[in-house]
Amino acid sequence: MITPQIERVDDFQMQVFAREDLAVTVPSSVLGADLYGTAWFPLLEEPVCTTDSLDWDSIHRAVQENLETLTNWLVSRAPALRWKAGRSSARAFPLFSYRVFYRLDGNDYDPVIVGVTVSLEGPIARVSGDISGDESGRVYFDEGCSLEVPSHQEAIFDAACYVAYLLVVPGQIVLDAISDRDFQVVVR
Amino acid sequence: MTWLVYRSGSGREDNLTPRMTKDTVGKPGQSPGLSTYTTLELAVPPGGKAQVIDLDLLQLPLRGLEDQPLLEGGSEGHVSIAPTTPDGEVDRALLEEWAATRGTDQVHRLTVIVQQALIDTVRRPR
Repeated sequence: MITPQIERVDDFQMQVFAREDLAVTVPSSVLGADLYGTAWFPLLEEPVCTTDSLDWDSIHRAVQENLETLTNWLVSRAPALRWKAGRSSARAFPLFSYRVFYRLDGNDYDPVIVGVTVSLEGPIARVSGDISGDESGRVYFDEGCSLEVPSHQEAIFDAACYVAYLLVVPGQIVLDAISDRDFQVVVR
Repeated sequence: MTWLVYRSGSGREDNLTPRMTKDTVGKPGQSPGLSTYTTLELAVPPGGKAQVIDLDLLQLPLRGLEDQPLLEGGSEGHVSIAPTTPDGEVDRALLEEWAATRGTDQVHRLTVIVQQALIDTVRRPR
C-alpha cells in the first residue's frame, strides 16, 4: 500500500486506518463554521515496477562494492590473480552482476563466477547469487543466497546487497576453486 | 510446442559465445556451434546450474542443429546453436567471426540473439 508521507497539510489532517483507508479530516474553519467532516479514501496498491522503471545501474554498483571486498581479500592471498567485473542481461533476467576469477594455473576453461542475478516475475523479484563455474555450472556455494522480495527498487537493492554480502564471506571457497589442482578440463 | 535446450554454466556473454576451434570445428554427426542439451540431466551434473534457451525464440541466422547420434561424433540429446546460410548449412565464416569475440569486451550480435532467447536459469537437484 502507498502510505502518505504528509500527515498534515495546513488544517487538513490525514490518517491511515487498518493500512487500507486514508481518512482526511477537514476542519470546520475550511468548510464553514457549522460544518465539519471526514472523507475516506481507499489506499492505492503500490505500482509494480517494470524492468525499465528500475535503476539497474545503482543495484549493479552496490553489488560490485560488496564484491570488491572479496576481490581485495583474494588478491591479498593470490597477488597474481586475474579477475574481471561485469554485468549482463537476458530475457530471463534484467541484471546479472558478477566478478570473474580466473584459475591460478592460467587455464582459461571454467573460471569461477561470483554473481548476483535479479529476475522479475510480476510483483515479485527473485534475487539469487552463487559462486559457480562459468562453463561447467558447478555450484561451489549458494547457501541462503536466494530471496524473493517485492519488485520495488529499494527492496531489490537491499536484497542484492544482502546476497552479495553473503557471497563475500566464503572467500576461501573461491580461492580453493581457482587453485584446484585436481581440476580437469571437460571436453564434450 | 516450445523447444527448450540447456546450456551449462552462467548467463555471462562469454558462456553464450562459442569457443574458437573447440566449437567451430564439427565432426561426423555433430555440427559445430554453441553446445546445448535437450535435458538438464545431460547438460549438468547434480546440483549444477544451467541456462534455458527457447530455440523457437532464436532469430535467424541462428538455428538449433541436432546431432545425428548414429554417426561417430554425434551424441543423443546434443544440439549445436550455430548461424546457418539460407540453404541450411552452417555459416562457418560467421561462426568463426562470432567465436572470435569470446573473451573480448565486444558482444557479438549473435550472442545478443542467444540472450534474447534465454528464458530461465535453473539448478539440477542434487
